[in-house]
Amino acid sequence: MAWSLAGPADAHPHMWVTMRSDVVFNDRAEITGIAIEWTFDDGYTEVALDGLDTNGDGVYSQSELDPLTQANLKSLKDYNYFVVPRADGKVVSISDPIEYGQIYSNGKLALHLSVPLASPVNPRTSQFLYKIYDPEFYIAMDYVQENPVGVIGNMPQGCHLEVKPVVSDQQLDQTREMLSTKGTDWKPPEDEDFGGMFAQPALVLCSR
Amino acid sequence: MKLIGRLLSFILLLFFAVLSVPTPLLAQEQIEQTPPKIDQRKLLVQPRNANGALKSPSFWREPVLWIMDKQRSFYGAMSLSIRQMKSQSPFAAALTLMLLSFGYGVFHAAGPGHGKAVISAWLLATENELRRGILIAFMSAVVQALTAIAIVSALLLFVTAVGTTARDVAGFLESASYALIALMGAYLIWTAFQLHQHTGGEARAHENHHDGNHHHDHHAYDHHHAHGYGHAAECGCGHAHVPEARQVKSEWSLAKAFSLAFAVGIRPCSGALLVLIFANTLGLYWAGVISTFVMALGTAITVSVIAAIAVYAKKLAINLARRDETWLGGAAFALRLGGGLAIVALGGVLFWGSLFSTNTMM
Repeated sequence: MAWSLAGPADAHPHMWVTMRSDVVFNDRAEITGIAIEWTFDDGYTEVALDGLDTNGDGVYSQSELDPLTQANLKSLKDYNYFVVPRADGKVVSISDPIEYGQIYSNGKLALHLSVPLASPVNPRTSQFLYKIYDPEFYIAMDYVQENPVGVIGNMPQGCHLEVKPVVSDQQLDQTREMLSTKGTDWKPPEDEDFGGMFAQPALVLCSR
Repeated sequence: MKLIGRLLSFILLLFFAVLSVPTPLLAQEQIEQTPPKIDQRKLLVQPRNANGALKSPSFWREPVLWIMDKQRSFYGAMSLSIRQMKSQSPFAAALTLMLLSFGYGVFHAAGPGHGKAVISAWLLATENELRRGILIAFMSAVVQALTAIAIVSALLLFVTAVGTTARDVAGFLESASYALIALMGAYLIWTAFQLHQHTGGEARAHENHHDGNHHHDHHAYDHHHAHGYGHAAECGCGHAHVPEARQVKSEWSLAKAFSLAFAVGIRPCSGALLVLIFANTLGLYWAGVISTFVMALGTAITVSVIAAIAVYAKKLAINLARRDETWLGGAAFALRLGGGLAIVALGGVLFWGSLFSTNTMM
């Protein structure tokens, strides 16, 4: 309605994030962490930046953005930074980011963070994959088209990265059909949550 | 003895003043201590507790968010129960709806809103009797119920998409009502200064003000008699050396009571809107209407109790101060000013909060 006074700064906007991620390897060709870059949608960017140009020079420097970065990381911790890595199907726990920051350039605000795995994973002996998603789908996270995933460090010979495509309509139908046969207390296997069923997994595949 | 009385009353008044300081002021002090303050609304995700539940925002740091959070949890609990009732028998459902509404009314009014603070501050500022405050509490609760019923009924009749539209209307009325409340506070502040000029140091002011212009007294007396009580404050035309008690009484008029009840009640209790809409979807609209009034009864009770607490706390302070006549004038001025400021701040905060959120109170 035209006379609604609800402003553009909605308290809880849905959020769209385009992301890319990198698998971090150490010198022994083990996976030690995942580096993520989230680029926020214009709406959130507008809300987030409001009032942060504290010195008024028209530039949002990293130091000016830092309080927001800190606050966001603090609450993201309660969500495990939305990262779920798995080795042979088992969830690998992650620690707090070792490197992070926010950059505003070309009208886009992006948050990057690198979360270490609690223990390194050897991709040649165990099957490694990870998903980055909001289980409540409050924030929609989609991989960018070009080079959605990359490598930092020393990936072993014979390995490559692969991002599974977005769940197709056909798969959605199948999932729906499958769910309709289950009771209300049914849960996805292997500590998966429902949001995870629809997230794009990134895999490290190695020839053995 | 006199000194002790004075001291005691001073402390009490001070205590009272602190109580009535609007929370944003306190909150600001705390915010200043932690320099890089990020608005919670900017966060990608809200912090959670270990059990996965969202962390409630702190009342002191984020009063507006706290208000929204509390209202949201009430809303969630209630809509869940109503949905579950669908399977029950209509009569049991209607009864449950009414009981729930009563409880919701009582507890909901204990949270922010419902003119509790406004009515308390008004009572304190104008020194009206408690029963009048209670009357206003019930009146505003009824106005609130009627507004909700009128809106939902009209919407049900004329608009098909009730679910989405009702929220917009509620949002608009909410903002309008907060703005009205803030205006009311401004009016109180204005009258505080008006009355202070007249009552402060009575005898001296009396003579200075009116040398040469005597014999106004009699005229004034008649004037006020003729026009009834409602006009004293608006008049402001120099006839104000009527006895203080008269002025206090003249604060009360049915018109004023209505305007206050209206300002508070024009925002339909969002809970009432919800109950009505849900009752309609259950096919029990009549039960929704009854529930709305039952809910109004609940909120009025809570508001009255809180107003009573405020009034008795103040009476104690005033009784101690009464030993000294000039004190009373000062205290009345301070309370009136403080009450006015509190109402302006309250209305302002709520108004501001309502602008930045859709369905704030839903």
